[in-house]
Amino acid sequence: MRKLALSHDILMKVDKPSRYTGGEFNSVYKDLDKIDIRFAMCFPDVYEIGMSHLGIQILYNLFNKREDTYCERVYSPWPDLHQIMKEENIPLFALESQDPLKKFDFIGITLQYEMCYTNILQIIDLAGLPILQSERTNDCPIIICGGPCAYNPEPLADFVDMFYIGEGEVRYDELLDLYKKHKNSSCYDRNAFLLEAAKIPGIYVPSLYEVSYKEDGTIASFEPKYDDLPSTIKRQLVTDLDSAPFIDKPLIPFVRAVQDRVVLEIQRGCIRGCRFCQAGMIYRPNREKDIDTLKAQAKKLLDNSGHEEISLSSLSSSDYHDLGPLMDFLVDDCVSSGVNVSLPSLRIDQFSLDIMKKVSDVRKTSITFAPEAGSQRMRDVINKGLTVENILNGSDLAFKAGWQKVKLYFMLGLPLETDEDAIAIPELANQVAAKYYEIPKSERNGKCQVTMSTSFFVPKPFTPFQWAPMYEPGEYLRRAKLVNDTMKEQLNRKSLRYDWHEADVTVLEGVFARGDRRVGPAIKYAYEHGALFDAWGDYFSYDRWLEAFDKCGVSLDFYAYRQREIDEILPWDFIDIDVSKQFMIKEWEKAMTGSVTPNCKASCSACGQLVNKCGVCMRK
Amino acid sequence: MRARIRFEKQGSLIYVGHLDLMRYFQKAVKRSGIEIRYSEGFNPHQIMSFAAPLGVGIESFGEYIDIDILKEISCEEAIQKLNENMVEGLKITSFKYLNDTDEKCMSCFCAASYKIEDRDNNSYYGFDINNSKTINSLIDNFMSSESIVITKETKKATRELDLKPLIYDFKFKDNAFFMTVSSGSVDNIKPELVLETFYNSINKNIFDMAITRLDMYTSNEAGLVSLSEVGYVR
Repeated sequence: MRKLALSHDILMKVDKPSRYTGGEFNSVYKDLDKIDIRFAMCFPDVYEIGMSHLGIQILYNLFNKREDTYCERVYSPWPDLHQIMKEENIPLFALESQDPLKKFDFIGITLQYEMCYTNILQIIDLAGLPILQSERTNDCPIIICGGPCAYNPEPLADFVDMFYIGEGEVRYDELLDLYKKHKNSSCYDRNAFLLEAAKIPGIYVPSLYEVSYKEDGTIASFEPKYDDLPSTIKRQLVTDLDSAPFIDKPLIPFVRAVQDRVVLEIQRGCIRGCRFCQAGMIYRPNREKDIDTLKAQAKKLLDNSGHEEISLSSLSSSDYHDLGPLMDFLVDDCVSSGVNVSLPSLRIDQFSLDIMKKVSDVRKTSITFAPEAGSQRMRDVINKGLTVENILNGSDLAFKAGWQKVKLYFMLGLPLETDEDAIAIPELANQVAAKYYEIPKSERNGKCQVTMSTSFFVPKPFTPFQWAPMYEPGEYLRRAKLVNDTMKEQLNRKSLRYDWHEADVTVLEGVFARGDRRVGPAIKYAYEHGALFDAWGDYFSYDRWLEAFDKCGVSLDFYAYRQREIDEILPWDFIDIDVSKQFMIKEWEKAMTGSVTPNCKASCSACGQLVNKCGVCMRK
Repeated sequence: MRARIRFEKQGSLIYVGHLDLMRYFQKAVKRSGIEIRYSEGFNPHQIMSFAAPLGVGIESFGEYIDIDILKEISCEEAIQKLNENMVEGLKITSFKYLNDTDEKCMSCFCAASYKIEDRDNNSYYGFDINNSKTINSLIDNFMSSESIVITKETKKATRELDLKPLIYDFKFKDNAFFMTVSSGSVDNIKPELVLETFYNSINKNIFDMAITRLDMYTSNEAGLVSLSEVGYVR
């Protein structure tokens, strides 16, 4: 039996001790004497969240397929254990071997959302490594980060040895081979390795690049330190998803993961081009998996996991070209063998309603629409094509089929938004409720429930809205209150509900999303003063961050509230995602006039993606 | 047809709680290909029930699950297929079919046997030397009283309970305490409680207990019968 890193006493003291004991079904165990590279893959949040993430499982399988590499996992210790580990000097360890992270060659951390940045420092700190990259020595593991937030890596530049920009399946073999070459030489020097790794496409080593600033605080220059280093980092892309590495044996956590089901990725990228959406830009072009690939993968995942539920993962499942046959397969094959099908959010039309009826109890589930903006004018500004007609017709079909609950998702704080646009949100919800009551009373079964949910818009890098200004928390809350007050005046108010997100976290997210290297010290300060699990309401403290920003000279005005200039050098400009800045600028200008851009299947808008010659760009 | 599975839970698996273990078994059974029966309705679940939950931190050599299956499979094959879907720390040791008249393990389970050792290997359970004779005579003394009354505090009230009739066996052997106590839905006694009461009665401090459940029992005319004795092999 494996020896555990934590004592019995500690495990009996903390919440959900099996978060830290490993031994899960399909976890991998290798003979340490037979491998050359130890890789610790990390999701910087608690176990149950991390175990739901597909990306780590793909890389776990990919790395462990290499005979010379052993990949293990590590997740953020919950605050109760974090406290004990600090007090008793217990080093952070990987789950499989229970060995301290310090013994590993690489620590890979995925950056999925900005509010987990302090947890990244937690991982490095608990591992017993210097938080600052510049202080690390040859016996320290290489810290590499990837994921969507890596597309603006600058706020973390002080702490990370290298970033991998793009899809993980592409360059890791090359990187690991290079590392092995260095490790096996008689005089391993981490800086020499970093210098050579920086030349691999997609790899960004921040310590090898210099930034200078203008008087107004914006970037004056961003240059590599040596001439033979690339001045632009190219995002890495998997051109053929059907043959890409896949998860043969999904890890089955003991503690219930947030996604306690098979998650089947059906495609990457999205054709819609909504202007607020970063994923829609950085994962271009839309690449679908072949339906036969999906059927085989679904079967394999279900057989190897024993999960009793399967769900589809993609940015816009309704756009998958073979959705009908795919749903037929899932409903016919899975439901009959005791597997539930959890549906992704679909366009609401007769087709999807028929499918939904087969797999869900209409009385309990809701129909979801994501108009994102209340008025047609605003929906045109953000290029989200949903019309009032779509929503009301869809709701009508759903209500007649027996559904009684509708959920509507919106954002507040979008560019060009006025109070009229905010008011349009509850007015739209009211119209949906009214549709329900048009059905004769004898044919209805009680009331309907229309729930509006608003989040506050955060401008993200690599979107046409990356220049947009943000607002102070008070202003976001004023708009939410306007929605709430207007809702209370609606005729069908008794059928309406409204919930809204936190405003102060929103502003913080904005600072990290579009921050530069000067934001890093504030993250360090905040962590050293107790900031941890900031994505969790219970642990987040806005005041602590305001203090950190104040002490480190990080201005909310400069990073969040300011509207950026078109000709400004943005911190992430050095990354090339094959969507040109000219395209973004054109989209930003079209947004100003409420002009709509068609989706990729309808017509090509020449964003720049065609160079990759794959996916939707190649469809006839 | 109904079948009863016996399994062991050790090592790092002792930190997996009961609900998590149930979820684990649902997936393991599915992976094994054993055709388990599902309940009806929109949220079908496997017809599977555990005899009793095992507390976190406790090892066991005798845990039981009753399942309802659609297609018969040889017991040997069932054990093999299930064990292919286990992890280190979990092992299936028996699979037997139940007669229609055999009660569900959850309802007929009435006693459990335990082994309790000192987690700190260096002490002699609070005695000067490892003296099994002394300890056993103290146990005999403890068990010879007419009653062993303790106060049990629940959220609602405090009640008095006589442990004596609920302790079926209690001895010290091979450097460990062994006991069989009443368990289940009526008069469920935790082994820690018995040992704490015993140590109290001899004015000694209780040691750091490492508890292992050895087996679970039902009763018939002959007395206590292990749940694994019920049913037949096919």
